[in-house]
Amino acid sequence: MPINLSINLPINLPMPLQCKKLHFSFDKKPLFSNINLSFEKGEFVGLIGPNGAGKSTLLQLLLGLLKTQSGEVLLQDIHIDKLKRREIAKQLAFVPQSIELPFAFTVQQLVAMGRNPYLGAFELEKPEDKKLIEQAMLQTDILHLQQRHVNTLSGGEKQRVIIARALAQQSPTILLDEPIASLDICHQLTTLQLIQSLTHSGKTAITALHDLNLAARYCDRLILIGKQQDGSTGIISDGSPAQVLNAENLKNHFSISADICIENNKTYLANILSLL
Amino acid sequence: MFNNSRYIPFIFTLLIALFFALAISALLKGPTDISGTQIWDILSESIFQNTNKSIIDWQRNIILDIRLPRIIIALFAGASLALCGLVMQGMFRNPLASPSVLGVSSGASLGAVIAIYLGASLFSPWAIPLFAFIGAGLSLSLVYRIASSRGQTSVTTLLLSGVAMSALNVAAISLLLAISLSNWDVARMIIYWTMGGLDGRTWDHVFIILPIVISGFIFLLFYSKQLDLLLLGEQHALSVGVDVRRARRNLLIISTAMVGASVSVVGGIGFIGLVVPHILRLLLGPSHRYLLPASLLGGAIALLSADLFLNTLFADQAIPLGVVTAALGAPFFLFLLVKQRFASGSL
Repeated sequence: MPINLSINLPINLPMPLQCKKLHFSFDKKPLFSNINLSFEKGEFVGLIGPNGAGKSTLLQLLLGLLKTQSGEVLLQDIHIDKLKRREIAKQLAFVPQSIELPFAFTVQQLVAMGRNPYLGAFELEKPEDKKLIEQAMLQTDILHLQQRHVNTLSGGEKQRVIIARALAQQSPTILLDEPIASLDICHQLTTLQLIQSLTHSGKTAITALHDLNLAARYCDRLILIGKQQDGSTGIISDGSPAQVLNAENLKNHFSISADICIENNKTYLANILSLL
Repeated sequence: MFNNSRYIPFIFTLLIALFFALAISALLKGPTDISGTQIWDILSESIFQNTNKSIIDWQRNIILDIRLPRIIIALFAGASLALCGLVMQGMFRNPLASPSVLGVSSGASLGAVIAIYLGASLFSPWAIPLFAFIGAGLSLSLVYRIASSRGQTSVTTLLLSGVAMSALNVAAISLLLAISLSNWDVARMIIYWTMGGLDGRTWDHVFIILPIVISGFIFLLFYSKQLDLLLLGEQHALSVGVDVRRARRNLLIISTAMVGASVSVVGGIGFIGLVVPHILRLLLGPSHRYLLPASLLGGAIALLSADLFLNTLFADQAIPLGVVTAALGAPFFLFLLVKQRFASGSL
């Protein structure tokens, strides 16, 4: 698959995304307390944790889709609540987990929506917007689908359309919620490779992932979310795949045992067994 | 279906041609015969302010004070209902939403009936539209709140709460009518008003509906991109820079004002808001850039043709306009419901 690495990013940015002392409770039940995270330019971060741990919730907090009870989310050192949604969209792109597209937009129209934060209410796409839209479709291997209606696509194709939309947004940071959950193995790999190549050219990617082996293989850094000793949810472990994927974490948070192998500086799990 | 951009200019030409053809035939059509040239003389006299001796006074009155306001009201009421249907379908991401299905029209009716019952309508011609606006707004926000939680709108809950809201509104209207029967003047006004339709509408009514629909339409044009983005769901819209809360609130206010205006002038006319946007979406695709102007034209065409249909075939019977639109629209609604059920497996 041809991958175009030319991304226009401003240089010498402050920290793309940070959160400080984040507290969030849902239905009066505290879910997160005192979450501190910062993400650097060009990092590929994998958010891992068992079902229901709160990976999606954390992503939505970082995006400002959910309001925190206290603490702050900083985008390029600016408090997210002080920014308009259009300004946030220029900084942060998001690939949501659920894709339901009941209306018959074409692939091209949908990817073009990524340019929305840059265009006025009546403004049409300029040639450079069109170029970025086409580039995003090329990167995600959907150029041949561009005149198809999105409601006729397969799950995997839809997922790639949504990723292309996020790429067209040209944001320095991209958040993805289970982007490979509905993809076949080949597209899982190409999608993660694509995200990895984007991070190599300076984009920051934060991705919720279920597959620990793929997470370990592609991500520079893993963040494990799970139940803490006091029962609340929090960050259990944050570091390189080798640091996070240890026997204790696998047992306590995923209820599995596995042989942890390290080869060529890459961690992977073999002989995975359920402990339940 | 065949939403190819090649067809778009053709469809718009067709809509504009139909719009003018219907408006002209509605001007020509009436219980008394007035020839086309006479109508032309009357219109040009009032436009260019040149006195024309050959014009007969009663003909001038019929054209300028009866037919013309009737046509303008039909056009704008239809346009307003179709635009509101379009906006609600977009906001709720559901092709089954419309002012009548969601109980917004009946809410506006209830508001108007309250205005009559309390006697507020005697003080100002704006009392009925204002109360209709409040009734429509309360109904819509209640239905919306019940049906959406955490950014997700459940179709079943939406339709059921719309049905419940309608039932409640209709019951309240009946209750008010029953209470007011002892005071025949009020009861008569309520009954006359609830029948709705286009008969006896005057320039006063035009001045209520015209500014609201025109300004509402202009506001909606500013939201055409955001409406497209809202179709993809709250999370998508937010992530590409739509302030979803604000957009929803403003769209809600605009569409409520438009429903309030049209209901207070022509009464509850159902299903135009459902059928017209749906057909146009099949023809033009989901982009609101095209759907908004097309719904304006399409709604106007639909209501005016329903009125012409009644005037031509059932001129002697006083059949309410809402009966025609419901007779055509209700089966269409059922068809959509069944189609959607089969498409998604469940509602």
